[in-house]
Amino acid sequence: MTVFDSDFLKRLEYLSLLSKRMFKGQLLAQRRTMQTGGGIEFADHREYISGDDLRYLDWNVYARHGDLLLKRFQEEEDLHVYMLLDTSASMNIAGSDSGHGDATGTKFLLAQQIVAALSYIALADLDRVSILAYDDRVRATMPLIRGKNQVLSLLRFLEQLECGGERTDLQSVVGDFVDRAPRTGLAIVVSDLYDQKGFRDGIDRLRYARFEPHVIQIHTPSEASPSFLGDMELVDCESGLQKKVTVTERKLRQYKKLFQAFLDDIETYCRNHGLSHTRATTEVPFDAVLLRMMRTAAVG
Amino acid sequence: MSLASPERLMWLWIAVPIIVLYILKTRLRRQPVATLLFWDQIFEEKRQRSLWQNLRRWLSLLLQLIFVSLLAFALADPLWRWQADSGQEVILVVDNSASMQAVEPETGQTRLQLAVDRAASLARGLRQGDQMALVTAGTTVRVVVGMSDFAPAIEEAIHSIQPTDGPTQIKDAIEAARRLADEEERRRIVVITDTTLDEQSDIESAEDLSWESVGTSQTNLAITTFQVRRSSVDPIGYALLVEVRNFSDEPSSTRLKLTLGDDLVDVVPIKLEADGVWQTTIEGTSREGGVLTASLDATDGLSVDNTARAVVPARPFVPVTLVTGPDDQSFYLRTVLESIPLIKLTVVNDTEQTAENGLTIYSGTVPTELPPGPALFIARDEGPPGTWKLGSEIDTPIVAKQDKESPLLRHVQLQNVMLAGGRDIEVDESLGEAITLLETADNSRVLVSVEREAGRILILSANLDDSDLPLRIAFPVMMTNAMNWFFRQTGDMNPALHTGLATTVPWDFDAASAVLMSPDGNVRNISVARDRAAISPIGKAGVYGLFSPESLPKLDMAPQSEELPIKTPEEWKLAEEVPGELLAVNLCSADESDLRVAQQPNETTSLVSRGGAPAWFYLVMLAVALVIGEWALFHRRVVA
Repeated sequence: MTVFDSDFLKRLEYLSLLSKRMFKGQLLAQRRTMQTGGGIEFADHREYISGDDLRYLDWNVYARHGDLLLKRFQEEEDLHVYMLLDTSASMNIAGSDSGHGDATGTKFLLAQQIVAALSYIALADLDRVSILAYDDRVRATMPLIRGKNQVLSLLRFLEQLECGGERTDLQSVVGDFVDRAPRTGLAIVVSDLYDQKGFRDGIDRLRYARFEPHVIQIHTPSEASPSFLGDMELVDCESGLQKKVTVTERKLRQYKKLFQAFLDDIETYCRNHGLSHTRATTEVPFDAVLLRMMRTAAVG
Repeated sequence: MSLASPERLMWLWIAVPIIVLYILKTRLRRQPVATLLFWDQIFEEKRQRSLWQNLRRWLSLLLQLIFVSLLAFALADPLWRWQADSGQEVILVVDNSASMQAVEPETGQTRLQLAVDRAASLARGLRQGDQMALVTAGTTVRVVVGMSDFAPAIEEAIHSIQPTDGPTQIKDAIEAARRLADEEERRRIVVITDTTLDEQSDIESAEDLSWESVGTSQTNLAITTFQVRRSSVDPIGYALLVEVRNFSDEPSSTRLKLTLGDDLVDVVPIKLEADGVWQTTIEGTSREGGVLTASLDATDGLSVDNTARAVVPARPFVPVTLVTGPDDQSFYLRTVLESIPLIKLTVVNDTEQTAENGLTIYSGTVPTELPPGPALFIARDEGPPGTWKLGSEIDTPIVAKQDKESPLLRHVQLQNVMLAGGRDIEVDESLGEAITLLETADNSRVLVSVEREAGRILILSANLDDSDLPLRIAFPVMMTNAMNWFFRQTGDMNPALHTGLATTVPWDFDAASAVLMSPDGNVRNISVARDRAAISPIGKAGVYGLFSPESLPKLDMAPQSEELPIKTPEEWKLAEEVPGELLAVNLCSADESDLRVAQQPNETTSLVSRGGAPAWFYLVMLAVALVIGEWALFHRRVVA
């Protein structure tokens, strides 16, 4: 089945145009990187060290204060956008209680569409885009690409991805990713964040490595509010672990409270660390999710 | 403990699929989830109860199997010994008297229908070990069903109860019901009637009696007396006594319409006060006779008492031919005959001339052979061959002995009367059964009656012109009796009978038995003794026919064929096809016509008051409790 059809591509183009109108060059590639270097826009000073290029010495400061300070400039270069796409088995859950579903309606499909859309917009703005598919480790990598003409190869890469794995380990994946990434940039994590060790360590690692983490959390309505009752055997679709339980109305109420606390915790975490956070459910189309992201960014 | 329906224990097999389904159910439904992170937190504190988690499923299965077992045993209808011993003997006494035909204005049902419905509901509540009998208490006490524990048969019998026009026989019915029960301790009599408690308070207080009243108070106008008798001055006249009563607390008015056959006799307007009585005597004449019917122009609770009937017999002329001898003028005899009403007298000298369909009187002469019809002989000579012979003339023919039972000598005293020319009459046995009515002192028979198929014969051996007899008052009386005896009619009227009463009526026909034909054509045998027919209580008002069984062609004891039009007793009689009498039967009962019911507590009888409910009831209750318990233990937590 084709995940990205012609209609999808039209909607991508529309979103790309819409993003340019809404942000007027403030999104993604038209933003400057935090890399300092040989640009023309002043960034800050630093102590002169022997061997530095004297052309960048701030003579005015030296004349006034006698301090040897070297001027630093923000380097103008392309933005690097890294898409960290969760391909663990939990992403293959459909929107209903029936469990694994077909391609339509799963979290993974929505994640694919969101990643594709963001990548398209970035490529359209001449930014560099790389995609990492991961579960407990990096499963597939699309190296940095640039230019709109790379869109089709990007979509093909996304189409060939499949969910799997027995667990999710963002921290391990980020550690590997940070070591390999040629440059820092935007790191957009698209996941359900059902990380057995917790997602925070991974995000923190990104922050510490000077990446700009952006969290897009996806879940299904049935995960937020399951409707099954009675005696049953719950099976973790990643680890395969089983749990025999009797689900009662009271237990369901407890579950909903716990899940809501989980969502609130993620939101609080992102807000406290100044991270961009977007929550999406499978019942919402991907373009609506992106529009909401754009509006949030525009207001911010 | 015994089981009423042990074959129903096969329902225990239903446990097999339950077990199979339960085993299948223990294979829990698998529910894939994205993560167990949250479920682990929720069920973390429940792990220590895993033993209960394992046991609870088997306990649930056990409870369900017990539930199925209880239901199967309930279906098998067990009866414990103590329950069988405490079974009741219920006797339903259903009043189907005339007043139970009253229609309730609210429901449109008769009181009897209400009583039948109530009795049927009681029959349906018959418990295992109980027995029930059914007795009706209208007109006559009738045991419809003896003691039986088969509720459907009892219920069918209850629905077959028909209303009667007779009075209530509650007391007799209760006595009969008491005799039906074997044990007094287990006896329970349920009386369903419209009779008020006040009237029956002495029997209502009995411990074995439950009294259930049906019906509500209604106003009613009724004919409570309706009798007709022959006029004392007019041989074809009659006098009618009518009484109409108002059983209401309000004044009322109506009209009484009298018809004789199809002819309107009179219409009398009547005004009645509350609880008022209107009574009158009406006189009339009719030679043809017929059924005199009185009907009230009233629409009230009970219709059967708005009509009453009486039979007025026809008084036709009787042709009498007096054959005299050549030298005999028979002056006295002719004079007496001429004085008797309704006689059409012809005097001739020809001994061979007889009266067609009438009486032939031979005075001083004898025909060569007996006439075909009835005949009176004032004999001086021997009769035709093979009839009678006369002895020698008696010296002192004074009557010394007379038959006091004979209708021929009713109101007649002839002892010591001189019968000049009297001779002993010796009747040939071939002529018929001879009865001596008058004897002289020397045992000479001077007046003999003979029963003959061709016609009755009366032989008087005397010379009337020389005897004292014609000078006596008794002579015309005796001749009048003779006329009635010959033609089997007295001119008297049978009184109108009342429903529910046993009585006897005169039966002056040869047959030793009679049949009573109801208005709808059904017949039943009636025993006859001493010229009176004994009639058992009649349940339906109307005009009945009392006929000789041999006179009814092709009539058996079964109802007349439905293919042929039903011939009523009136039609049989008025067509003169059969000899017999018509009898009018009326309700004429103030107790039955009074439809007012005294206010009284109406306690609904329940048959479950002794010995408790049947075993299956408790089993079902226990099963229901188990279901509730099972739900509370195993399923409530799912939905609560």
